[in-house]
Amino acid sequence: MSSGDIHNRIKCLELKSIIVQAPAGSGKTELLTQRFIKLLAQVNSPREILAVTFTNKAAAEMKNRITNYLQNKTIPINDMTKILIDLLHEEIEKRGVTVDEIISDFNILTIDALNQQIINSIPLLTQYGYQSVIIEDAASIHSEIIKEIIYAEKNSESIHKILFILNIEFPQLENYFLELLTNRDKWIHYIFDYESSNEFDRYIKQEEEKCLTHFQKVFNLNDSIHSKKKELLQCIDSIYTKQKSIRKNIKEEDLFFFNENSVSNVSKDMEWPDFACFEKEYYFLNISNLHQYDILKTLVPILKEAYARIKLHFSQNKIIDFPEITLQALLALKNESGFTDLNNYLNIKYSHILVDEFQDTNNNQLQLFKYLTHGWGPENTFFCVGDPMQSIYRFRQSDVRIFLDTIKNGIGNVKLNHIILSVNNRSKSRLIHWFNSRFSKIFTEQHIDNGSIQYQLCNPRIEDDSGSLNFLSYSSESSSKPSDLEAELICQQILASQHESIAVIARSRNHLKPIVSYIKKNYAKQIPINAIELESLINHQCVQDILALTLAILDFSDRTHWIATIQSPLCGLTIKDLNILFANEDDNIWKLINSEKVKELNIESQKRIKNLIKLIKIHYSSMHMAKWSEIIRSLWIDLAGIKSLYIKEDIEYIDYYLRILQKFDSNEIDKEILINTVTETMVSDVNSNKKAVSFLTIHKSKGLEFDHVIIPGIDKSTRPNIPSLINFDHIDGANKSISSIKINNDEIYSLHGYHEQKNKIKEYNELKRLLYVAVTRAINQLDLVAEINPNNQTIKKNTFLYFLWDDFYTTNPQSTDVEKPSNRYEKFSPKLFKIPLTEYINDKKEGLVEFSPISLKENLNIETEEIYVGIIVHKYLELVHKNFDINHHDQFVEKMLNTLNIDKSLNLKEIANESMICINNIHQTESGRKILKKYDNDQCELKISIPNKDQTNYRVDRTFINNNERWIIDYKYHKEKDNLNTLALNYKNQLDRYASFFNDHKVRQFIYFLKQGELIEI
Amino acid sequence: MKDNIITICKNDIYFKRFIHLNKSIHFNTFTLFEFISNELSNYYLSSNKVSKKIINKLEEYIILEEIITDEIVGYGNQFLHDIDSLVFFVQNAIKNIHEYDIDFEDGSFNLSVENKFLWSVMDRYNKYLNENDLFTYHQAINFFIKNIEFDNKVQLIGFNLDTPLNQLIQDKFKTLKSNSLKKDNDDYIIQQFDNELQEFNCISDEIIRKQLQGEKIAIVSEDVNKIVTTFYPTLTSLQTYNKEASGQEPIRLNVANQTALSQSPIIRSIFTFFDLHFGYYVSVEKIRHFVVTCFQIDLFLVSDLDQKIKMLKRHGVKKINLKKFNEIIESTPLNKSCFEEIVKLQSNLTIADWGTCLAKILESNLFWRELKINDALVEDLSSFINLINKFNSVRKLKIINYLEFKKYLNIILNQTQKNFFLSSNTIDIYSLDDEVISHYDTIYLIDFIDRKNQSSLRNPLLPFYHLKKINDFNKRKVFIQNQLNKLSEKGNLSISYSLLTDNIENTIASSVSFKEVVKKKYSKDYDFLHENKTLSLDNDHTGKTLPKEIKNIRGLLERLQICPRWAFYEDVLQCKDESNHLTEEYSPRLRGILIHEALHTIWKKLKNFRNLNKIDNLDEFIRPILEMCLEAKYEFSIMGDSVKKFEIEKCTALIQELLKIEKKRFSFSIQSLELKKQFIHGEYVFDLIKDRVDKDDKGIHIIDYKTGKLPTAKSWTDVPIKNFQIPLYFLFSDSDVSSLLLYEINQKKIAIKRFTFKEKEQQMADDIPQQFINKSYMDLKKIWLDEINSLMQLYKQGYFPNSFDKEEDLTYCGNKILLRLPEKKYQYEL
Repeated sequence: MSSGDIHNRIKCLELKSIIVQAPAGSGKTELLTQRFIKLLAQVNSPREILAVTFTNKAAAEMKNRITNYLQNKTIPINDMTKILIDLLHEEIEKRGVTVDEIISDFNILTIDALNQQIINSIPLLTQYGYQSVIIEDAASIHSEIIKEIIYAEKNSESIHKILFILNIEFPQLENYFLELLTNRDKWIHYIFDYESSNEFDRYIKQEEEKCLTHFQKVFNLNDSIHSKKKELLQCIDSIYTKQKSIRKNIKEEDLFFFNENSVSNVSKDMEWPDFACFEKEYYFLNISNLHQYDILKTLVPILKEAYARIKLHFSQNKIIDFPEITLQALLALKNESGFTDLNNYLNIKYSHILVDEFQDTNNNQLQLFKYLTHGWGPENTFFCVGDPMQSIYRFRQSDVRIFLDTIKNGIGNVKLNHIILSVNNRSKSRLIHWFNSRFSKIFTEQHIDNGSIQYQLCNPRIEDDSGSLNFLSYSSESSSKPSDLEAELICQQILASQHESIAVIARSRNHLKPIVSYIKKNYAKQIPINAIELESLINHQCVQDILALTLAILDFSDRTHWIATIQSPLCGLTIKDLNILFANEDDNIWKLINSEKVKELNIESQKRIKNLIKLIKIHYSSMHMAKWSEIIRSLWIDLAGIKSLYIKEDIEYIDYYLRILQKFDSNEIDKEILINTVTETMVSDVNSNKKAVSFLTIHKSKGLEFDHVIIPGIDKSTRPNIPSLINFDHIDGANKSISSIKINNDEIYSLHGYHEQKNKIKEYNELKRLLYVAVTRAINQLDLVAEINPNNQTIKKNTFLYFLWDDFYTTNPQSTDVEKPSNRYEKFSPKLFKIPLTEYINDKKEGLVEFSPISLKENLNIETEEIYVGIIVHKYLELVHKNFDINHHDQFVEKMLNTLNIDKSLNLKEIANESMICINNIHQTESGRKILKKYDNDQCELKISIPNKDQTNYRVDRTFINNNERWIIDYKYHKEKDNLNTLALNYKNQLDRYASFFNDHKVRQFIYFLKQGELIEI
Repeated sequence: MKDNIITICKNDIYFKRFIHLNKSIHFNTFTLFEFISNELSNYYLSSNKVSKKIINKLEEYIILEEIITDEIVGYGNQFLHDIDSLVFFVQNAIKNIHEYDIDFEDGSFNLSVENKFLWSVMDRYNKYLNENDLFTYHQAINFFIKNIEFDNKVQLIGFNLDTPLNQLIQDKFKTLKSNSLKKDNDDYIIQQFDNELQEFNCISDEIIRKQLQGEKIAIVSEDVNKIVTTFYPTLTSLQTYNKEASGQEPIRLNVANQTALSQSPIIRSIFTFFDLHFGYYVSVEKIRHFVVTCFQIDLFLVSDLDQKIKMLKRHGVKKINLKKFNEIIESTPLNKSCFEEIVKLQSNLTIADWGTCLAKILESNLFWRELKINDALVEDLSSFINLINKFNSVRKLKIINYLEFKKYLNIILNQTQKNFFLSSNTIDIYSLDDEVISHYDTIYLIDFIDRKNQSSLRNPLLPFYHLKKINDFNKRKVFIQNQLNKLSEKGNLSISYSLLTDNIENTIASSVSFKEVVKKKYSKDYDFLHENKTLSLDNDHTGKTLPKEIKNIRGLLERLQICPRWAFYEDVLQCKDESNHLTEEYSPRLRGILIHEALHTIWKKLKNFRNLNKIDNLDEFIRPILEMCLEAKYEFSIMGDSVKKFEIEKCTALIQELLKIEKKRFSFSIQSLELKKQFIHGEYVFDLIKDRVDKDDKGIHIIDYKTGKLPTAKSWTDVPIKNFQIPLYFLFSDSDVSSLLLYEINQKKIAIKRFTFKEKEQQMADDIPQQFINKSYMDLKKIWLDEINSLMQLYKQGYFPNSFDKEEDLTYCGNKILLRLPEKKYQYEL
């Protein structure tokens, strides 16, 4: 390692604010770890240090690394880390805290988690409570809301205007709006800022001024033309033809305008400037950019409404999405009245902040850091590491210019020291030398405005001759499919590779898919693979089957999925059977399979259908589970779903599917959403083999390294992004936000077109960085693969090959003669399958449970006076037994009446009178006094709970032991006097039940009639 | 029977668990709430003091909601505030303040906006309680402890956390100490897994094995919720995939506070029922759910309903009201009288009256006598009825409408736990804070890691200073040190955790000493996968002559050409694309129909070129026709007014431009418009509609309007024919056709394109762009006929192989799932 680099690494640990520019493989995570450890020894509480990472994975890794160091579970290899750890241990000991207390206070998280933490801490300010559930993809909600808005009658005027000007239809507008709302965190505050729309107007005018000034220069005109845009354009039209050449016969009168406004003399024979030198400005002025202001005025209220509806929807449904979290967190830290006091909300003021992958910061995140560092003094430090050459998240609005700008201007008021590291510990020296020579030609100039950056040289750790680099090309003149040729070539490379870990990394999934499927087809045994999130879950046959089953269960009118189920191995009918049952029959499938028609099938098919019907009936009757995933799972199992699987990994996909279904468990399932979710879920191949070759996209490869990296499809481009309806730019220019709005579908030189052009340049610059990220994943060997056709030498600009063109030729690429892959499978000819009849678990399942109409326990008691008298007197007796002194019975009754909240239609007076009669009886009759006496094992209102299904509770009014006999007494209130003995017998069952709870003594059962004051034994 | 011992359980859940676990009759077992309120009422009844009542949950919610809504003014738009959460926070704060003996009057409540807010809400709340002689539950407990004498022997269940309040309660009662076995050994073995899935899989496997042997098992975890959502599927899937265990009664998890009563299907159905009765529109999915839940056994009924729902959806109807519902069930065996409309008497009632009202509707009106539901649902229904009956004790004189009441009802239902299943295959789940109340064979302490970043558990309204006191982390540490031993007294302890997972940061709980950390790897045992016993089917022949009448000959031919199996599914079995595009207000399809319809009407009026030429103001001519078409056709009723307006504008412009081009043609007259003809070809009969046929000096011209892309000439002249529409037009024209005119009418382009054949290669002198076909009409006719005959031969024989060249050819195949396009890997293995 060069001494300069070592020196710089030490400088990175100084207690200053620093921005570190570090190339790939330079050990950024270790550096952050070191600094974190160093800071831990300095601060009062670990909570003062905030470390922000790009992914959860990175956060977890960093946290784990530090934790393991601190707990001495791993010994750091790096000497510096070792020293720092020792120092920290000393410090910890000095302070008398435990390592675990330190660890428990770590603040290492992603920026999303940080935002979320801020929001959760201040529900009042942000208007979101913590019960809000974060939804990863709010697109369906946004879509709903957009539809409501653009189809609303009241918005029709504005919406139609936009549709006509853009010459698009509703669905396209929906897409534009969806894009806007999904990325609303980047523009919403401008929309709400009334001032900015005027600013936008000013901005357009200013751009026009610029154009006019340009014309002024080109044609040598005076200042007056600034007010004569129209005339100028007319005049130019009369001088230049539509083909952009100068007219042959320019008339004198056409020159009137020029004569008027020119600084010098003008004649028709003069040397007119070439159209090209003002073409851009001409179109710019000609396509009325002032329309844009008009559209903006139309758009703003609609976008405002959309946002308001989203917020309302979120708050009503207790959900929130990531853009909203970001917006609210920012709002929480700074509102109209200035910075809010974070200290009070988070109960901590961060004094040191560390940020990883700073090159992928976007504007909102930058803003957050500005807010967090607001009011900082020299004792606070901001530390960020990143590599502008690896900024590849433009689609998440990350902006490499932020990194460059931060080097210059710092974060808010915090100025940063710029340190450059140059040693790449990862790649072998040959590779590094190639990076240096190649990328210094690719990353040529630093241009903040369009995001192009200059290459930063890096050095290998050890200078030797190791590492290898290959440019592989093939040409597809032969009849074989080019993708097969490429795949074959890659297979050969993999099979010949000496290296431990191999990865095939490409720009998009689509580049990898054919290779993966080629390997599965031809090299399944030789090359174990690990395709990372390449294929959709729905591509798996077993998932299709269970999905069809789910959809069939959900909707009996869904012919397609019913037939799919019947045809699948889960039932296994032939298409001949299907033809017999369903051809030209409009009736619904359920009716048809229950009809006489089934008898036309052969015996086996009849059995299959019957099995299906039976099981569906059984599982429908278990709908009380209310969990779709459970019902579908057990139905699938019973239909011998497991037997229909081909390979053991299939079970993982079934589980995956059922987990998705689980999300719908407590609600009605929306079919479309379910299908979409299953389609959009990308799954990795399940492969436990460690030597498996990884297949992944460049974005997924970030932060990883492999011994041997193969990059296929160097010559391939990807589909361009759909341009946005509104262009936003934060850094370009001073204070403006909305830079242009699309006004026509095929605009070229309008303001919007101009900005789109600029965006393309930025995209192109990002492509360079993408290539850089991809190649720097390699440790030992790097293979780049392209299709080169000698006859056709044009190379598309948005391909990697565009940058590597001369490498592929000058280095005389290995012209590989790939063997022609066999064409064994020219056509798809999938077979249908069925499970042997015997495999259905037929006998195990019990038959259908028939439900009789329900008999609910009578809970709907009619309130009567009698009931209340009973309650009052029962309570009286309870209190008396529990030795409460009740001196005034009438007062007691009155209090009871108050407490009971009795229906006003009842006769309160009667209740009171009757209760008094009963209470008096207790004291005055012999039976009453008997009850009042104290006995052994005396209990009143004894609660008995029975652990059966409905947890029945019983209350025994009174029980005691008298002369070795257990007495059980129940109090009853009856108005009528007659025939108490017969009446008492009515309660025999109840008392028998009570008696069954006691087995200690002989039991005697009594009813005490309150009104009559009589104790009657049953 | 034990001597006068009273058992008090901390809450309902402990109560149920206690009763259930000990499986015998219990005397005098109460929940704390039940006990306290009883004692309180006894105390007041016998004393001269004015009685105070414990505030009811619903009432508490309503009062707090009012206070908070009032307080929130000044914090921005009150409608956007998450009042529910704020109420929740305040309730939680009240609980914590009592539970942890927090000094509510100290200065710390004056720090942040949120703290101040809490203080003022609670202050107002306390005043309200005082004025109305009410207690919070915790106040009541405190009152009981201070003022009421009590000297019975008590067994306490669930009070093991050493919070100040629990301490007070324990001191108050002469508690019975359970004779615990004191173990000194605090060395435990902990199992470490690479990731959560491995941990869950491994543990599940073990649990299932032990369960099969009849062991009693409990799981303890910090995140109970996660156990249910993530662990449970693992558990059950292992069970179902496991040879030994499948066929067993499924394992159920007995989890406190997991399923709210509001999630019970019967309760959701009842709300659907009420919604209908109170005049609201209900989504058809809910209607289906209602019927399925309540009349589930009758699958014919359900399948009929589905058919009707499908029709509704086709017409863009997604929600229906009672009237429509009654129409739908008209022909079903459901007893219609149950769904007779109720006069909307009670638009506004007090809360108490709402409870009674709903109960009465359920009781008197009810369809429920016809309900066919099982015991579990009957349970839920009866809990629900109990609950709404209790509402009549809420004395709050607040007059509300049905929707507001429903909201409150839902809040309470969300807080009410559904009865859990008591089956032999139950596993009890405890959180780290719960007290394990029974003895188990094995207790699994899983997911045993410190998830430090528990910000979500914090109550942001409480000052941080106090939060520290109740900080979960501290609490958990205490738990770990003291309770591990306690746990191990209750059963064999198995502790495990997993290392990194993708989205959670974790560190190992380290305040306990472990004898050993065993690193474990789990690989699934795939014993469920027997050798592949599936049978391949020879499946290309249906072996039957197919029906002779064909509705869409063109589609059939094109599908047969691409993949005969597709044609079988779509044309014979009639599995059409079921996607939702029909329910969209705007669709290109509707635009197409509208333009066809309008052009049809226009030419029906105009009849010939001369009349077209007479019209100067095309706009004025076209617009009313479009307006009329939109009104006339039922299909357009799905369009909203805005879309209709737009379509009129747009189509007027499009058609106007088209007619301008038509004006450039030579004089012609219309021979036929939308002529529907039935053709007989061999044994088959099929229908064909031609958009338009014109006649002029040069002969007959077939015209087709295309609102999408124009087909290339190659697609209908070269073998294999991809587009059969044009060949069919020609083949089934009576007279000699001179040319084909394709009208392209879409937002990108308005144009007319003329196609003429080799032998008719004469230049038409009008301005219409022209393309010559380099084959003669006769040759083409032969090609077409051969092609059609061979395809129809396949059809006739019932031969429908599943074959196609490229998957992309199937882009428009609406029933791909039926084609069973296999994963590529299987295809190669076969």
